Amino acid sequence: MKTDKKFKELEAKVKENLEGWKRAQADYQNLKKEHEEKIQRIGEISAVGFIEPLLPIIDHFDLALNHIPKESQSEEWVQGFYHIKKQFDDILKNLGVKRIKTVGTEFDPELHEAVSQKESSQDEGMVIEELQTGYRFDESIIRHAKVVVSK
Amino acid sequence: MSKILGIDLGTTNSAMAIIEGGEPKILENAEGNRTTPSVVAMKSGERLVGQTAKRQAVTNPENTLYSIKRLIGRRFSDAEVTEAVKTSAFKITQAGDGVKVVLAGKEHTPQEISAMVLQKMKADAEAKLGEKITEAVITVPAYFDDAERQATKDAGKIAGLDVKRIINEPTAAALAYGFDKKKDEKIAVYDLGGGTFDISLLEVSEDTVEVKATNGDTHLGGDDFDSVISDYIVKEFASESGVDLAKDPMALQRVKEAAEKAKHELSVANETEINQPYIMSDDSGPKHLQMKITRAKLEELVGDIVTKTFEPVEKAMKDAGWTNTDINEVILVGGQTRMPLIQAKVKEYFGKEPHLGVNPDEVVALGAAVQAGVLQGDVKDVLLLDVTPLTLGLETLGGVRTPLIERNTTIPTSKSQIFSTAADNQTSVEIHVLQGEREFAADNKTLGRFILDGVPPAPRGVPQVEVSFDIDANGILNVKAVDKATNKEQKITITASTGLSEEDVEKMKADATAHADEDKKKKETIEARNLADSLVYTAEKAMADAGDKIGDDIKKPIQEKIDALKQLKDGDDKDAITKASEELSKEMQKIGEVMSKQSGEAERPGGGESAPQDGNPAQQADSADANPADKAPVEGEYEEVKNK
Repeated sequence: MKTDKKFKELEAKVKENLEGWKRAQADYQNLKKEHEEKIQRIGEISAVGFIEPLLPIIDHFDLALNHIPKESQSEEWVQGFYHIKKQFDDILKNLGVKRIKTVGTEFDPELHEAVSQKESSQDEGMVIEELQTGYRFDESIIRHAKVVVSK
Repeated sequence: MSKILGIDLGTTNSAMAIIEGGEPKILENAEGNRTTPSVVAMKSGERLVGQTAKRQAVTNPENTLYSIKRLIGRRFSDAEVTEAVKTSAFKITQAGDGVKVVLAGKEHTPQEISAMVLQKMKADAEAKLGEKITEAVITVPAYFDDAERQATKDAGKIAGLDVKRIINEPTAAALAYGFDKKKDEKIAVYDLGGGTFDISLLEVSEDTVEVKATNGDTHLGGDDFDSVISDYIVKEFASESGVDLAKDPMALQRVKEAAEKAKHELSVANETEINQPYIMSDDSGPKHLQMKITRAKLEELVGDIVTKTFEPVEKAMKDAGWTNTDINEVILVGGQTRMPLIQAKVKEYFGKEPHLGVNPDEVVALGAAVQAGVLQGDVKDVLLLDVTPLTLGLETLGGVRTPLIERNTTIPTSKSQIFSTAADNQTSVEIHVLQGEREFAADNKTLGRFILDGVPPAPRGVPQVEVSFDIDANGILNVKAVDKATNKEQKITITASTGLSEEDVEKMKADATAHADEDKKKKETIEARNLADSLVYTAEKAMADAGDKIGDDIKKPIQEKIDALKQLKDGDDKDAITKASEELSKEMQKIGEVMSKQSGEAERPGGGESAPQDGNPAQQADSADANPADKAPVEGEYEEVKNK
């Protein structure tokens, strides 16, 4: 009967509309949850976002310090640079940003990025050199450490 | 019914997207990244996929597999496979006619390896969405043959995904732009990714998007651009300092990163500087890499590569029998297409401005999600939503326009706010509905007006009139005002709230911007005035209520401040009004201090008569009825209507 068919069509349409509505509600609720989670993490996200571009400066500063000739290291004006380095370290500490342990630990791709391998007296798979410091903030890795791994 | 996942399974990187709220959205992986490297590794019995696999590649080249897409569905005798056998650090073996790869001593089909990438994406998507994913739409290059398509489908199956559709990458890009609706149009998709270049020519007909011709270069991509720049830097540095940076892996890495960064920067600036102190040191001391690179130099370096991409383009056009002026739309895909030189050359060739509004790294995954949505019934024309083009609000005290629904709000939608009266014993309120972007009622368009009367006489600011604006899916605005004390209501229906021409809308927005500063100042003055009014009212009331309880020593300074404020408040000096208001506020606090001391002596704490808060005349905002999102109820400018 025509009305039967029409009824079935309408029934199907009603079902479809209800499902669509439910899906839209669900999407909205999920977006809310995601948003709330992001808001919670805003503090972390901004701190990390702020620090990240400054990391190369800290890297290069460390490199510069490594080049101070041994005989000059104790001079007063050189000591000043070590004090400045401490200031960098303190900023990181206060933000809760930590250096990733490298040399002497086992290479872990979750924390380290292997730039090269070298023969060494150490066991295979141990990190023997740190080429660039890695930093972490709680569980998230801001920047992976670049290392040399023992062959 | 869970979501169907749209997946761009790329040679170098993969991405995934789903439909959310009717629109495609990229899903981040577990590491928080929007793309996942298509790299799989096996280390100490542990399987690694993505960025993690990439990071240990140097220590484990035999068991780090990449660019598997170059092998999937192919025969061992294919030229592409022969090339891969030569250049890959991992082992590729022959299995019958086909190909296998060796991972941790075990042979696998390329499908099985790709399945590992898909598995990670599936797991990450499930974790993100909190629901199981069992179905997917996966994209493949338009030139993939049946065997390659089937193998990709199999990879999905192995990963636990029922692949509902395999669609072509250029078609996915067209879907992401909605170009599948452009009947009888010819579309060119220029896809320059990390390692491959593809040109596809599409024709959109009644119900389908047909691939008319494809061509490309399977070993030409953004990586080549980076190499050219790196080589230039190393060469320049060597000629100036005599030091070869390529000898030191870390220095070379820094050069590569700096090259990529410079490339990106030169897409927006004309010149960039490479600044890498202590890049290397030798017996003569430390070396610093300081180099300026101009966009012109970059374009000179990569010019040949870019020109090379147009050879396959020519060939494809010939195959399709089209000339460059036949093309209606040009879409850019792949991160490298962000380079201005490429955009210029593409525009020059096709005579059309190319589209890159959708992120070129993500457009294919988004298109896959659009297809997934179509299959799922999520993406229907009937669900396309409109927005209200201009802000809707009403007139409040001082001729100010208080917004209720901001422009560009998606409809259907509703919003309510509690308003009150401006004068004591005001028994009716007028709702003046406005549309526009200006701060003052008079500068906006009147959509309608109505009056709600029968408001029981009460001090100003006490009655609670809830005004709601509701726009339905057709753009019809219903405004309702309800007096919460009596439940008396009045409403009005306005049909023309979204029927403005685009020109009108733009003009109103432009007007608002032009007058923004002047409007802002005027509004601040009015607000200061309104505040002053309330403060005077509250102060006089507090004094009257306190009566004998406070002495003249308190009353006189307050009265002085009230008088001072009364003098200023009808004028235009906002700063003077604000200052006088603050002084009165401070003075008034003494009433509260005295009163609570007195009642504290008389009885146990119950708090004294609370003095009105600074600048907040209507405390009724805290009542349970008020919309929690609101601050104090806004005073309406309502005239009492006597007899009509």
